[in-house]
Amino acid sequence: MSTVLAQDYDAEKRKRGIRRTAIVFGLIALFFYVGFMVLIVVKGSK
Amino acid sequence: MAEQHAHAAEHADHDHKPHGWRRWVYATNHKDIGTMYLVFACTMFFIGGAMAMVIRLELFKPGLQFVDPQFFNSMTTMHALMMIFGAVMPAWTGLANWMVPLQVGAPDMALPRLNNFSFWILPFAFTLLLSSLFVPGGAPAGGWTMYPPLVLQNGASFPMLIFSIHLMGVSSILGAINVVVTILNLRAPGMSLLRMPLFVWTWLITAYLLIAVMPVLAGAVTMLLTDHFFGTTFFTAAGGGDPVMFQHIFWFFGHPEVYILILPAFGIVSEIIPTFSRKPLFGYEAMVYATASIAFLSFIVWAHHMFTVGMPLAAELFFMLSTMLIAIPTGVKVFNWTTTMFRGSLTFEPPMLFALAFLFLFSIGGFSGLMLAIVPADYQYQDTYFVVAHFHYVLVPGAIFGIMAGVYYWLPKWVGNMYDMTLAKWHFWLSTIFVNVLFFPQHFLGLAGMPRRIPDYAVQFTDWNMVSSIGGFGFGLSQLLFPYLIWKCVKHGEPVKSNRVWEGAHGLEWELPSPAPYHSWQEPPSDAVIARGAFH
Repeated sequence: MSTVLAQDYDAEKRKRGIRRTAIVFGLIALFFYVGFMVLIVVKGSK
Repeated sequence: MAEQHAHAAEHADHDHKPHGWRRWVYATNHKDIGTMYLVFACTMFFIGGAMAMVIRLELFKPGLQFVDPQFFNSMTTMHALMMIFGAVMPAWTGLANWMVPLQVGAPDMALPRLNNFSFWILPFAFTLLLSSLFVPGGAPAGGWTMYPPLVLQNGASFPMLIFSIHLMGVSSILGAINVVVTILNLRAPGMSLLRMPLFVWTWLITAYLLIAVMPVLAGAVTMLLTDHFFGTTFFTAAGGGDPVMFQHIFWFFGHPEVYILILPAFGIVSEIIPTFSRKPLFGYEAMVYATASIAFLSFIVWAHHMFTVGMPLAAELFFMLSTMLIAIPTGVKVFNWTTTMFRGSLTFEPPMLFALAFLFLFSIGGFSGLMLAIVPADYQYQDTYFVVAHFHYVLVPGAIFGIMAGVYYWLPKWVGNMYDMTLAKWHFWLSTIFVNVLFFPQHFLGLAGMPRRIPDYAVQFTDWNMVSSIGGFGFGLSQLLFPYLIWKCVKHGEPVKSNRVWEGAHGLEWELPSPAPYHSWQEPPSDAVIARGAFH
């Protein structure tokens, strides 16, 4: 029983890790997309 | 442990395998999605190749023979877009889908449904792009770099181009996130980062590059779209915008893109050379750090594509020197591959032949790149056929030969059959001879001053253009052997008898049966199996 629980715990931990990594890298991509447009607007308005 | 797993996997293979069209449309299995990517890439390779044949046919003789100049420009633009975004990038993603889970001991990619979505975006993106050939004004013709203001003069094809680029970008970013998440979260216990095969390492670094630069391209083309349709003037000088800014932004994407196309080939060559030298890879860690260094440097060299556009002298010096720095980690790689072969028991099966051709011919492309990095020299070479020769040496015997080497290396593991070695060697020799006949004379043409992206030329360039075109037709025709060879291997190939198809092969994929079971590594491999696979 305890083994099953440990496996569930590992699976849950892994799932959380996957979700977290995917969100972090998705946000990085979004940051680059928006960031470069903002950069151009700021540079253009000087 | 591995044998037990293999046995269990063979039985599991018969279970839960969808059939018919649902298997492909709803695919979440990394092997099915990898296969779809590879088939898609092969199809785009032949469509892009047909466009190259139109270009070489028109350039066979001076004067306008077959196509009008507008259509010729569409062909150069579409050929580049098809080959870069349609053939090479999806081929790498296909190979990553197939091999990364097998090599790190993961049961599948971390985000299988996202994986399906990433793939199925592509056929829509390329159907849209290709259908622009049939709209009024024809397909995009301003070059794959999409420089404003020229690109804004495209007719109905302009929004189709921008939307398809966005779709390709979304597909690439999602695919890259999937690869990173898989490598960081689904490695088998005991598969530490410095035990991973070089193909996995190079793909991890490639994925970081993709996540950083594809959004930059998307941002730039979004602004082109708003300039065209919503009255903004980001890149329109008349409204206070700066067209040169687009070039900076584009090449901030464009130069890392070159490494996105080539780094996975470095990984494959780093797998193949030790296998057929029957020696561990020389300097494994140095190879990892060299790859990371190349990736880092790729972010600070973009303006070497625009020396003649005009920039301060200090900037020209900076970009020249930083570009030359790339030769150092690249040299580390070339010397490590050479040292791996030194005193090895070399054999020359097709994957090794392609890897060796890669080594020699990619180095030629690297050297001409160094020549182009020298600012005063670049003022002479820019926009000539010398540049065309340079990047085709990097991308054809570089990226394309790397993909061919990978397919010839892993195909028996994928399908469980050995391919026709004689035919594969014919494919190799014809490709290698004709690729040089095709591209080497373009160095001479460029040095003599022939400009690129023109359908007609001065008569003194005739001879080498004829030679180049003959090489082009030969190379194009010899590629037809490749799909035939794969079909023959799948249908009539002799079954391979052992898990380890190649005598000197090491890595987790060779611990699995051939063909690799539909569901692999449901149980992670043991530490002993991982240690046996880590051949460095």
